[in-house]
Amino acid sequence: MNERLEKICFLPPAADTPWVGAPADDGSIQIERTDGKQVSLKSPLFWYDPPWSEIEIESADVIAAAVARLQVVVSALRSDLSAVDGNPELHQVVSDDTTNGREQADDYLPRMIPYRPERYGLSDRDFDGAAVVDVRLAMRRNSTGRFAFTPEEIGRWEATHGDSPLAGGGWVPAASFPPDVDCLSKLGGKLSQLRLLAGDAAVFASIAPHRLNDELPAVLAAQPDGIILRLNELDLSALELAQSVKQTRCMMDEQQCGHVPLWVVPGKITADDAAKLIALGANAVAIDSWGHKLVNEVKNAQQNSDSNSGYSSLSRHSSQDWVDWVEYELHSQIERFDGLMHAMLYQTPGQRLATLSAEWANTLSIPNLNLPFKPSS
Amino acid sequence: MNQTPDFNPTVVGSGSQTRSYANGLSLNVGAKVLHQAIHEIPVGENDEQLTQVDVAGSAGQDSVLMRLNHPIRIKMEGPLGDYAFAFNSQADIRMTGNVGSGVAEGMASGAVRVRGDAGVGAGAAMTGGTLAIYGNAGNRCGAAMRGGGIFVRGNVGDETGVGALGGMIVIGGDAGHNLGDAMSNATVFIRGAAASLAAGVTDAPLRKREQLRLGLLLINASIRGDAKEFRRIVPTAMLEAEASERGELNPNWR
Repeated sequence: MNERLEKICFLPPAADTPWVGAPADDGSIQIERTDGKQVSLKSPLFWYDPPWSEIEIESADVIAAAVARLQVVVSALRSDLSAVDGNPELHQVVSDDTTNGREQADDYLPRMIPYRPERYGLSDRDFDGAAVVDVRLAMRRNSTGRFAFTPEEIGRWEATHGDSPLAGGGWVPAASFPPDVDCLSKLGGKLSQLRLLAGDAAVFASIAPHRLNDELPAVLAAQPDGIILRLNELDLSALELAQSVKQTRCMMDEQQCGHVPLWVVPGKITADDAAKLIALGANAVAIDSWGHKLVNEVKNAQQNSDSNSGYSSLSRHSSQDWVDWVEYELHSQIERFDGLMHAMLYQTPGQRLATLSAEWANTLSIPNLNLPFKPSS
Repeated sequence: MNQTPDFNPTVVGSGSQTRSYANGLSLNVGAKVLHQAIHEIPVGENDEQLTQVDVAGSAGQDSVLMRLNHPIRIKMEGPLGDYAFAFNSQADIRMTGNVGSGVAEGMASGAVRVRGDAGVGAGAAMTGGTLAIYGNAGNRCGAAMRGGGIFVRGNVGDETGVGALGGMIVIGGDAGHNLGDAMSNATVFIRGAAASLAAGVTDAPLRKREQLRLGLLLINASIRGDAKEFRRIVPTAMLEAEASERGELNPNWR
């Protein structure tokens, strides 16, 4: 995958910087809920919209848990990953050997609840142990261009006997706004309710970028614990992507919401892109393109399973094999991201990025490198 | 605490502090403690007679008694704010007064009876149980419900049943615009008139078996009326499938 933000480079410390030890940082992020509670996450990476219905339910659960073990926040409902009354691995309490018998709060893998306006597939048990509740505002367009859920999605969430599928096995129109909220100015009440239902989770609102100037201030007025900006819903150039993140952060600062985390869903990115988006003002970045690659590989293998191809052997392996496979697939990217994030700590936030392009420098207000030769690109 | 089904404590108070009187026992409890205490009340041996708790002092509060999952009867006074009794199971709630938006959101089983009016989105995303509203309900009543039944003695607002995948909505009065919009496997029974039906749904008479079913449900919900006075609103394709008797084998209503 090509780096989208290759016009931007990371600035190393200046030549006369004294030798100091490496900055202490474990990469974790803290989110403060509006009621003062703290939510701690070990990584600023998340998998926003995994297409769970495209692969078998058992595979979906194993992949979700394996990715979450890498400390990536994974979005899933229980019904995405298990049959009714099942107990998906992603949703189980993680045993902790370090407790030595001392009583402490249950520990869960980092998980996000996609709280869609329709709530298809959502159960009250989804709230237990969640790290983030994502209140999704504005309709999403699926891969066919419709504002609708596929029969496969509805079939996964609302499993019924095969001969009597809900919705008759057809498309189900998507909603834009929670039907039990009167208007945008009342959204704050819904967010407060969700803080009670999910006592340990940060309650975010996610929005599309199309009407950002109007909608962002209104959503911020509802006091979400964070904002998720779905930039992948626009076909943005690299510069537009970077500019969107930077300007959204500025808008939030101007609304006296500098403390509110901004998470972005940028579409296809590399590890370098993810780190640069954080340097531009995002607090966390979605790595859906990395996760979708895993899903596509499993899907292809499942489709070819009759011909005794890869999936047949995958399916025979233990969960640990799946975990190893996921770790192998994602390790180099996550390691690169972690490394870049750590190296950025040597510089103050305003000195981390630069560019060779005058246009990018002007648009993003970052230094234009003054090289004594003309760069080739 | 008295552990018999006669156990009849009263919880009163205001704001986050409430006081509980249970057969002479008085407790100061907040919302969280009240929730926990309700779950600790022993279940009576007689399924027909649920242990009853009277709750007072919650007037005006939002998000009252959510995620109850205990076979118990609760009586309380309103008015209540938004999202009362959301995601409840098993509990039988009887309240007097109006409720705000999203009453009984996501309820899975049990019952909520409201002797008053309800705001927007009553019973949204319900998967089971019974929500009975003895006054009027606002817009989007029964939106995205997947099961259970909603009974409204009075009128309902616009977009009732929008996106409902299953379940039943009974309307004793009139409905607003776009009744049954994007509704799939749900059925609406209405006694009055709808300002407009959504595209793709139609008005049909009740079949005999539905008259019997609705009659029993009306009795169960303590709503006076004869099932014959109601008509049903169903997706047109569902009705056509019924007519051709192909629907039960291979329904595709959209």
